[in-house]
Amino acid sequence: MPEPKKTLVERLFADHRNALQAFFYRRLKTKHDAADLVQEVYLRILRVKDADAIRNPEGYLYTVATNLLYEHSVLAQRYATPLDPDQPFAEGEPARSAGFEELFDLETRVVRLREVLAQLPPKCRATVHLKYQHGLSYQEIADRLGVSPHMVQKYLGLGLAHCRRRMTRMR
Amino acid sequence: MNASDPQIRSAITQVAADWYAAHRAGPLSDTERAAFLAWIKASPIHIEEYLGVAALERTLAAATNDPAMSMDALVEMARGDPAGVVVDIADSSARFEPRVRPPRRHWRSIAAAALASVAGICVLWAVRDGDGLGQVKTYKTGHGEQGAWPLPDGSTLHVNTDTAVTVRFSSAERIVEVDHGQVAVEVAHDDRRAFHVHAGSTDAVAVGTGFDVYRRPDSTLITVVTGQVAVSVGPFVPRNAPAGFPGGLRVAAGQQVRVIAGVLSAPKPTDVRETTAWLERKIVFDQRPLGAVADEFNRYNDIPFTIDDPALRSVTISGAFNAADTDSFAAFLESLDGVRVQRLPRRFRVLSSHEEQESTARGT
Repeated sequence: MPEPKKTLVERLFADHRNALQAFFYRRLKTKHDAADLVQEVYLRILRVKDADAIRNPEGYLYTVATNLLYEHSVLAQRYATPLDPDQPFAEGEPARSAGFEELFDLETRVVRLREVLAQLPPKCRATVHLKYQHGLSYQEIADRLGVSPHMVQKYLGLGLAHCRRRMTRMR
Repeated sequence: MNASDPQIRSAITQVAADWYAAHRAGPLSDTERAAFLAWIKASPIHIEEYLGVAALERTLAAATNDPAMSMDALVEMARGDPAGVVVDIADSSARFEPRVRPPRRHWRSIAAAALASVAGICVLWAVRDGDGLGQVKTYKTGHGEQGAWPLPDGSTLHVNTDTAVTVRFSSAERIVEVDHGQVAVEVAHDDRRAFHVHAGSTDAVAVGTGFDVYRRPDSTLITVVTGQVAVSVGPFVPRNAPAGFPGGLRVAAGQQVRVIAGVLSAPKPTDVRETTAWLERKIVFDQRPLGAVADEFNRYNDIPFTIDDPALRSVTISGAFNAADTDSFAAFLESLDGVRVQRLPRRFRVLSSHEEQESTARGT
């Protein structure tokens, strides 16, 4: 079956959300205490006076998290750099090693996640693949599996929760 | 309730994943949105789990990339699941119904919303008599308006806010003239007719491509999304130049060139997503000065953000917002340390905390 043709807009934005998330995940894992950062995101959301005016709370959550992580990384760089006057390459070094580490991390996580996916019940596993590998919508998945779109959403929720629980233990 | 209890944590993870899946079904209803916000505000652990589920996405894209899992094979696998009931095998002992569950989603199309945003746009037709084969069409968008139109050759023209553009097609060539504003084109391949975008004296010729041209009063930005574009400044390549072999500076996917006062800069790598975020009516900014981000918002909205304090304008921020969603952006700014937003009748005034104190003291 041929892949459905994606529009320019779909291609452009397929990975936008991922970029924000990758940023969050990477920083969270390497540099900062996760609990502190989440606490700070939480406080900032509570600080908003008229939170009900937020039309896209999910996007807002990502934005607050991303911005906070950026602030932390700027602060970390500002205070870390002058402490290493004897290391002429100190500036370039951390970025490069972080890149390797991230790549290694991603590979390790992918291998582990494949094992976790294999534990899922068939319909649930098929849903996750049809969504993330083939990029189908809930309606398209529902048509193929012969279930309602609501069931597809439920399968995806169960599959994602399972992955999250198993991947958390890996850290 | 003790969230370090694995059973409770596991239940929170499930609710987070259900909310995440609900968001992927389309925009939430007002009731759902309020419920989600209330859930987020109930505990930092909810936020941690939600972001944790969201962060899986990138790894999932890589982990599910398995050629053996064709669509047919997956459907076959799912059909062989007789019960049709999903049990969370590994955590079955820990599962119980969480108190708060995302509401059931009603399936609906977002196409109606997309159409509504285009409805106010004015399209002017003008067929030139002297130009037998020529089809000339003018597209104009007002402040805050956007549109996307299929062109006769199968290409697609996306037009951003405050833009005027004329499309001239003939049997020999395809020309899009940008008078002012921003367009992005998805070019349908045609060996016989090159696809040109003119912005003043700047000419961009597509070679099987998607690209973005932003003509500002003092400069023009050309950003290439896919394929290649040949950019030249000055007299255009003659009409009979062989299609597919245009002259000019070659700009590859992921690069941007800038034309200022007729001078072409060298191509530089750029974040294509940032330049073309307007296609989804989004404003995406990564470590950009607050002043520039506010200016970008003001392109789309009637109620502008004004920032007088130069120090505040240079504060760098990151984020992604719906271009029309000024309330969320204002709320985001207020969440920053030392930043206040005053909602005045005709503008949002963004000021630092000490500015606010001074103006209160002066009684202004």
